Order: sequence, then structure tokens, then C-alpha cells
Amino acid sequence: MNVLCKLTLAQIRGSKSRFVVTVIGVAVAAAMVAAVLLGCDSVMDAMRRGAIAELGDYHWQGSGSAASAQAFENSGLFARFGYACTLPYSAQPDGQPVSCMGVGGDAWRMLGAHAVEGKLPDAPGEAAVTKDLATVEHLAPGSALTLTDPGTGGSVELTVTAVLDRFAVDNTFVYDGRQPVYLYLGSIARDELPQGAGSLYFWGAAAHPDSRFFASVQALEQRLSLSDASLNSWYNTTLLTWMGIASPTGGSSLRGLINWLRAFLLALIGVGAALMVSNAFSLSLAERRRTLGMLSSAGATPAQKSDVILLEALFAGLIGIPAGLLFACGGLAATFQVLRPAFGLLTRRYGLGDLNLYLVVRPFWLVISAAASATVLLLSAWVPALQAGRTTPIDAIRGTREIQLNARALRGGRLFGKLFGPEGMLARKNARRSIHRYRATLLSMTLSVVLLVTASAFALYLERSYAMAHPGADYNVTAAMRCYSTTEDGGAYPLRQILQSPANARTVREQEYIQWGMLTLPSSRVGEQTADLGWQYAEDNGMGLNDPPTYWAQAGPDSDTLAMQPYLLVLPDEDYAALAGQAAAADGSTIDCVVINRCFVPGRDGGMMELARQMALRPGDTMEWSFNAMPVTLRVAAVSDNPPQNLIQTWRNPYTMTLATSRTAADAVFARFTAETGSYCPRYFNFYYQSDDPARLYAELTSLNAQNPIPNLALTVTDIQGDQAMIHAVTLLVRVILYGFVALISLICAANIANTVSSGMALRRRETAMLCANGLTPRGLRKMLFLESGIYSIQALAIGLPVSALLAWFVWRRVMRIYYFRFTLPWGAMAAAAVGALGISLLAALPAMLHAARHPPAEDLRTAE
Amino acid sequence: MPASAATPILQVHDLCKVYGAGPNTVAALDHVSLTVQRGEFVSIVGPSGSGKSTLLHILGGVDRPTSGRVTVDGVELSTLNETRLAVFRRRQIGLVYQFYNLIPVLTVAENLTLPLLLDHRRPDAGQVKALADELGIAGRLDALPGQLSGGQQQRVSIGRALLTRPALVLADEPTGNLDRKNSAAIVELLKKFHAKYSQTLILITHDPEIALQAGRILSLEDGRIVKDEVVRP
Ligand SMILES: Nc1ncnc2c1ncn2[C@@H]1O[C@H](COP(=O)(O)OP(=O)(O)O)[C@@H](O)[C@H]1O
Ligand SMILES: [Mg+2]
Repeated sequence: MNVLCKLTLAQIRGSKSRFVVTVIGVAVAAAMVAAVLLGCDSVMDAMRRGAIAELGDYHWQGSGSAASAQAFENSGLFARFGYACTLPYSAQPDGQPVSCMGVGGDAWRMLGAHAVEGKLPDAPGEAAVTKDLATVEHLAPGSALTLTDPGTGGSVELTVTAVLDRFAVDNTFVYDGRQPVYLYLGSIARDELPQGAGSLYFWGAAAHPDSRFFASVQALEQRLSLSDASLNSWYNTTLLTWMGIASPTGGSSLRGLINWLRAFLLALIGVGAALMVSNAFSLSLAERRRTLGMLSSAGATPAQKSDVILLEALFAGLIGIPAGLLFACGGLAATFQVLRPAFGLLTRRYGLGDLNLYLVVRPFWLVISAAASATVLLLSAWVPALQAGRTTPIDAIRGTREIQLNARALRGGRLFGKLFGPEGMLARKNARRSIHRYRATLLSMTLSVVLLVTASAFALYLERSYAMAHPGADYNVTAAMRCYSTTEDGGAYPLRQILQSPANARTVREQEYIQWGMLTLPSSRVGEQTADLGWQYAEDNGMGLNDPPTYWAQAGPDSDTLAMQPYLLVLPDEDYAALAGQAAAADGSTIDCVVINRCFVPGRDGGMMELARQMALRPGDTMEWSFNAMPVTLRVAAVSDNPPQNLIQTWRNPYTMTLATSRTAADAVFARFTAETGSYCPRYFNFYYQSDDPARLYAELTSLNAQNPIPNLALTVTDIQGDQAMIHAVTLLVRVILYGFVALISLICAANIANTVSSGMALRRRETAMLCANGLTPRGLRKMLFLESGIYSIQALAIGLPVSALLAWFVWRRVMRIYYFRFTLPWGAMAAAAVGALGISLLAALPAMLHAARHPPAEDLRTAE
Repeated sequence: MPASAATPILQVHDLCKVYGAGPNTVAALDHVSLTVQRGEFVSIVGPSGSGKSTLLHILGGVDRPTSGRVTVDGVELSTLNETRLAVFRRRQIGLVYQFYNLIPVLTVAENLTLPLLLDHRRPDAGQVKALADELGIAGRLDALPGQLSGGQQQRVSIGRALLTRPALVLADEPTGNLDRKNSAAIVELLKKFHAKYSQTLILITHDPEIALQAGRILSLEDGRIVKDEVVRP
């Protein structure tokens, strides 16, 4: 073995723990690089699978004449080619309308046709039907099917060979809502297509989708378009983008974004890793000064001296990089496993194809990851290696002069000294010997803390907000039906009956509310804080006091009456009685009601706040309600200062009052209104459903919208569980990615600190011995070493926790505008950050502390070095 | 343990220190016994490798003997655990070495008061100022050691060894890497403090001229005391 190699190995053996830590650092850096590259590739692969499921596995699509299609097919440009066209057959003899199309070549496969039963048609006279049609018409593989051609009156006899899910061919053709039947097409030769065949589409998958392919396709298209004016073509840009290929028509911005993001992450990791590696090797250099000086006096060339450092880097890389790659694969696989249930749910809810992430390990990316890590390692070791090359014998004799101490950097820190004693003061100064290294490490630690806490806060708030928006959670789909008609009774619409008992709901709760006209009441009945917020609301919205459209005071504050907007909930009679303690009067002109005396409104600081005791109303008070020119008196039966959570509303305008009355009382008013005015009240209904199959229910309810185009009626449906699945998936993704990143940054930090502290120990042996000789106790020494490493986490926490609390507050302000919830700090995450940071410090200080325990200081006093 | 003025400040009984194991053992100290009275100024001379530093380290409680007993101011060092030994050191013993006597990250003032700081005691500003004047380093109190000359650095470390008025001051070749002029100044300083505070001073040196300034000279050879002469009573 080469003597330098031998020397390096001996040196490594001499500072084993630092080398191990360096290898761990290199491994983590390589793992992060590989995680980004392989992760990106796996995500792209999932998107690619999604695109194939949704659009089909083709690169190019065209439409035009049969001759053009044939020319393309025979061009040799495509590895797979398929086609489809609409066929004139349209109905069975029994009149059930169907749409019909011929599918041929590789189109079945490329567009994702999948036989649920039987096998795909592969001979003339064979056909496939969709599952729905098969159910309705009682068709199965082997059934005979007769289709007629309304144009010619002729008919064809077909055999059903397959029952299918609908597939991507549907993206191209429009069927007018009628079920499609897919016939086998043997060829696209013009004379083999049935008479009256409609527009012809064709799809091709390139053997090599590269720029040559794109150019050839374009050239061919140009030539063919001379004879075929209908010729038209598109690229499957989505698929090409996720394959990482630039298609001639667009998709470049997304690709650019992905590349940019990937480059950004890699740069971030690269800088962090370079910092760690160069730190490790400058420490190594400092430790080797003496050896290098001796080598130098023995006649070693600069290159040979550099080799001592570079060889160490090589050894670290040889162990660290493969370990990192393995670690990345394992970590990604585990992460994807964790994400799978959430994404699986999304996939099922939205039928988005298979969005699940599977680990894709392509050798290409492994090689790139290894090469990138090796490059960073080599470049970072380069500067210390060059310095090693310049070491002279005199350096060795003079002993170690680590770096020029910066007197200013060492100043201050009185607080740290006060808190942790003289050991703390010493630790702080030692840590700040190399102020740049200190700040860089501190910055990455602080960043970890901030990332961890803020990400947790974001995820927490998102879930909180959603939970607030849907308290109780006894429903998973909601629908809102609002009828504005004055000529028809909205309450009697058939749609309401349908909404009251849809096929796919297990439980239904209907909640009607009335929001119409204004209430007049004594201004003394408004809560103090409400009046205050009301002024602010009027000011913020530029309203004059006598501005008619305001729901604010009709007269100035001197006036003793004012107007408010009512929001009257119509509760079932027994619910109302439970709330009010008695039944409501139902004479049609006076309504008994309960004041829901608590709501959420914008506060003075722009955020939302909970307003308690909104009104100063008392039982027995009355308010006049201009029920669109038919005065109604509202009589307060009870005031609920702490109403059930699901009755509390969120208002922009604090002068909106939530009230509740009974069904009987409300119906009496509606009846009187119609009797007196001859027109109908607007009616608003919310429906809350619990369903075992929310996706089905959602589909069922949304289809009502299309089937019942009633004027003056709006129906909105919300799939809560779907939203929840989405939110869950998003928060999980945020958490997993950020936590993973934080964990890895922290590991690199730990490696960095451990190296700094134990090398510092090694370099300052005599100095430490001096301290001991001056009466530093063993415990004091351990404390100093721990604090030397702990100062990073203590400072990072001291800066990071307040900063992230502030950021969390800003995040909260954004999120709670959607739904109000009280501000809480993510205490769990903050505690985890504190424990984690201090744990990392302890871990990082451990090698140095163990070393100190094994080697009594007296030994180090003896020598001059 | 209250030590009366009559007890010797230092009693060494049958001290041995053996390094290494098997055939490679080196007896750095070979049955050394000696007694030093309060207020004495003793120099230790001897060829390189004779065990001078080893002896001093053991006297200072920095190192432990293989066998034998050391009693400083009535306290037997072997009875103290590491922590109590460290505390004893910072209060009772002042140590001065040849090289790297100062902590490079601490200012001169902090270096000077290090034993006090480690003892969680507040150094008295006036006392520090007076000491700095005496050492001739007033005005450099806020500098880092690296910004001082070798002689100045050594004066700071002497100041540190003397600040707590320890009963026993141990100096291991304190002038070893200084020029003649600076050496003379350092010895003057040590003598001055010795006289002023009647501290006990044990000084290792190569320089016969310096050795002769002491009241008593111990000669070491191969880990044994070969001569113990009183120069002046
Ligand atoms: N840590 C050690 N391990 C082995 N031998 C040592 C060690 N320290 C000192 N020695 C040996 O002990 C003897 C005395 O050393 P030392 O007290 O430093 O001598 P002096 O200070 O008189 O030059 C020498 O032979 C030296 O080699
Ligand atoms: Mg010596």
C-alpha cells in the first residue's frame, strides 16, 4: 500500500469518531440528494401513470381522413398505432338509445380499455359495452346485440365479448349522454369503414419520443395536409411533460417549474453538505498540521500533502455515498408507504387514476445522485487539501494556530455566562472561535426549528379550521338549496323532497333559515362590544350613518332605535322547545324566538374573534321585523349566551343577529305572507347528510343540478369527506416532506457540531489541561463541552421559537379567515423542537465528553504542543 | 482541616511514578520524599527527563502518583476526588508553565481572574487593576493573549497564579522560552511576590543563575533527589 494511503488510514484510526461523524454527514447529504432526485422521479412516475390512466398511453393524436391515418400508421414513426371513429348505428330495436363507435389497432390498449368481464373484441362483429349499459340491458359476454342505422334503415348483428369500464377514448368523443358501445374495427382503410362513419381519430406512441420524432411527424403532417384539409394533430403534452420530454407544443412551464424546484432543493442541500464537509476537512487539516509539517520536511510535494486530505475524503465518500443511497431508497419507500392510505382515499374519491407513489429507482438517477454527492465532497475537501499542500515545516514547529481569533466575535454573551456560569462563558467563546462556521451552523439549526414548528402549525391550523367549519361531524356531505322565486313555493319544490331522502344517504338533517328584511329594536339592546365593532364595520366599509343599504343604525347613535339583519334558524318544534323551555307562539304575526347570543366577527385587529353577549336582549323584549312589507313581531322567549356549537354563526357584519324559532311558528308566518300578499317568501335550506358512500351521494346530488334546471333556484353540494381527504393528504404531505427535510438538516447539523466540538477538544488539549490545572472540575469540563455544543441549540431555540411563533401567528391569521378558531401555538411541535435540538446537542457533545473522561488532562500539560 | 502555621506547607512521602507497563516501564519518580516549609523558595534543577515536571504535576494535584503521599497545607491529595481536587487546586495552588499558559479566547482580564471565575466569585476590580499595574500589563486587560508578547503573556500567567494568594506556587520553567531580559524580569516578579505575600514558591529551571536566587536547591536525577542544599537560610 502507498505510504500516504497508510498514513491516512492511520490518521483516520487516530480520530475515529470524527471520521465516523463525517461519514454520517456525507451519507446524509447523499441521501438527501438521492431523495430529491428519486423522489422527483417517483412523483413524475405517479403523474405519468395518472396521465396514462386519464388520457391514454400515447404521445401524439391526430384526426383527419382515413388516408392520412394510414399514411401515419405506415410511416414507421410509431411503435403503436390505433384509431377510432363514430359509427352511424345508434339504437337498438327496442329504442334504447346508444352511441356507437369503432375502435381498432392499438387504441384499445393505448387508451386503457380494460375488460371487467370477457375479453376485448378482436374480430369483426364483436363489440364491448360499458358496465352501466350491461346492467340496464342485461348484457354479458356472449349476448347478441342488434343495432340499427337510422339513416339507411339497415342493421348489424353483434356479439358482446366484453363488459368495460369507460376508457380514455371517451375523452375525444361526445355522446350526448347516451351509453357508448365499442365495435371492433379491423382496419382504417377507407373502404372497410362502414358507410356514414364519422370523424376519425388516431393515436400513436413513438418508439423514441425525441426531437427527431417530433420533426418527422411535423414534416409528414405538412405533406399530408396538402391533400387532407381536415387533418389536425395534438401532442399528449401532459404525458410528455411527466416523462420529462419537451413537446413542441407547450408544457414547458410546468417542466421548468419542476426543474427549478429540483435545482433549488439540490442547491440547498449542496450548500449545507459542502459546509459540513469543508468544516470536517478543515478540522482534519488542523489536526494534521504537525504530521503534514513533518511530511514536508521529509520532502513531500504539495500534491502529496494534499493527498492526505483528499484520500480521507475518498474513504469517507466510498463508505458514505453508497450508504446514503441505500438510506434514501429505504426512506422514500417508507415515506410512500405512510402516504399511501391518504392518497389511496383521494384516488378512490376523485377517480384520479392511480395517484399512489411507488418508489422508482432508475440507475440513471442513482448514478447522478452519487456523482453529485461525490462532486460536492471533492469540491469541499479541495480548499483544505490545497491548504494542506501549503503546510511548511515551520507550521508544524510553531504548533497549531487554528485561525486568527476575532476579538469582537468573542465579546458579549454576559447573559449566557450568567445563566450557565463560567463554563457557559468559556463554551460560548470556544464555539465562536470560528465565527463563520458558528453562524452557518446556527443558521441551519434555527432554520430546522422554524421549519418544524411552522409546518406543524400550518398542518394543525388547516385541520382545526376545517373541524371548526364542520362541527359535530355527524355528516359527510352537505347541500344548500336556495329558492328565490316569488311565484312558486320553494318549500314545496320536488327537489326539496329529493334532497330530504336521497338514495345514498343514511341520515339526513334539514336546516331551514330565513334571511330577509330588517329588524328594528331599541339601540340599548345592542351589546357594548357589538356597538363598538359595528362602528368599526361601518367605518371600514365607508358607510355613512344614514346610508340606506347599511344594516347599521338607521339614525345616529343618539336615536334610540336601530336596524339589524336577522338570521332566523327554523328548528324542529321539539328542538326549539328544548332550547327555549317552551313551545313557540304560532299565530303568524308574532314569532317566539331564542337569541343565539354568541358569534364570530372580525375583530379590531383584522382577525376573527368570538363575540360573546352580542345582544343585551332579555326575555320578553320584542323586535319589529319588516317581513318585506308584512310586519312581523319577534318576541324573545329566551337568550342563549352559551348556545350549542352548531348554532353559532360567523358574520362579517356584527349587526347580524342569529335567532332560532320553531317549524310551526315559521310555517305560520309563511302561510300568512302568501295569504296577504299573494306571493312567496324566499326559502333557504341546508341539508346535512351522513352517507356510507359519500362519493356516490355527491354524484347523485350534483346530477340533480343538471336534471332540474329550475329558475330562481341554486343548489350547491359539498363533499366534506372528499375535502377532508384532500386536506388530510395535503397536511400529511406537508408534514412528511418537511419533517423529513428537518430531520436530515438536523442530522447534518449534528454531524457538524459533533465534529467541531470533538476536534476543538483535540486541538485545545493543552488549553483544556490548563483550565483543569486552574481548577476546572471534571463536571465543569463536561458542562463546558455540552454547552459548547448546546449553545447552538439554545441559541437556535431562543431565536427560532419566537420567530416560528410569530410565523405561526401569521399562518393562523391567514387560515382563520376561512373559519374562525382560537389561536394556539403548536406546543407539541415546539416541545419536540426543544427536545430534539437539545438531544442533538447532547449527542454531538457525547464523543468529546467521552474522550475527556478517558484522558486525564495532566498528560496534555507535559508536551509543548 | 485547620493547618497551623507550624505544619509544613508541603510534605512528600516516598513518592513513586511509573509510566508504561512491562519491559517499557519508566520510573519517572523513584521514592522521592521531601518537606517544604511555609514561605520557602525552592528551585528544582536537573537534566531533562529527570522527573522535574512529573514531580510538579503531582504536587499540583494535576497528576496522581503511582504510590506515595502528598500533603499540601495539611490536606492529603489522594483523599480528594477529582472534583474536590480541582476546587482545592483553584484555591490553594498557583501553577505557572512554560508554554501556552493562557486561554486564547479569554481576554487578559478574564485569564487573570480565571480561578476566581471558576469559583463563581466576582473578581474585585480594584485588586485586578492593582495586580495589572504590578505586572506591568495595565492597559492590556481587554486584549486577547495572542496580542501580547511572550514576556507579557508569562506575566499574566504569573498574575493568575498569584491572584488568589495561594499557599503554594508551582512554576515549571517559566522562563523557558523567553530571552534573558524577560527572564530576569519574570524571576524578579516571582521573587517580589514571594517576599511580599510570603508565599511558598517552587520553581523548576534549567538556568543555574535563576536557581541560585532561591533559598534552597533540589537536584533531581533519574527520578531521585540527589542533592538538597540550602543556599541561604
Ligand atoms: N506520559 C508519559 N508516558 C511515558 N513516559 C513519560 C510520560 N511523561 C513523562 N515520561 C517520562 O518520565 C520521565 C520524566 O519526565 P519529565 O518529568 O517530563 O522530565 P523533566 O520535566 O525533568 O524533563 C522521562 O523519562 C519521560 O520520558
Ligand atoms: Mg519538564
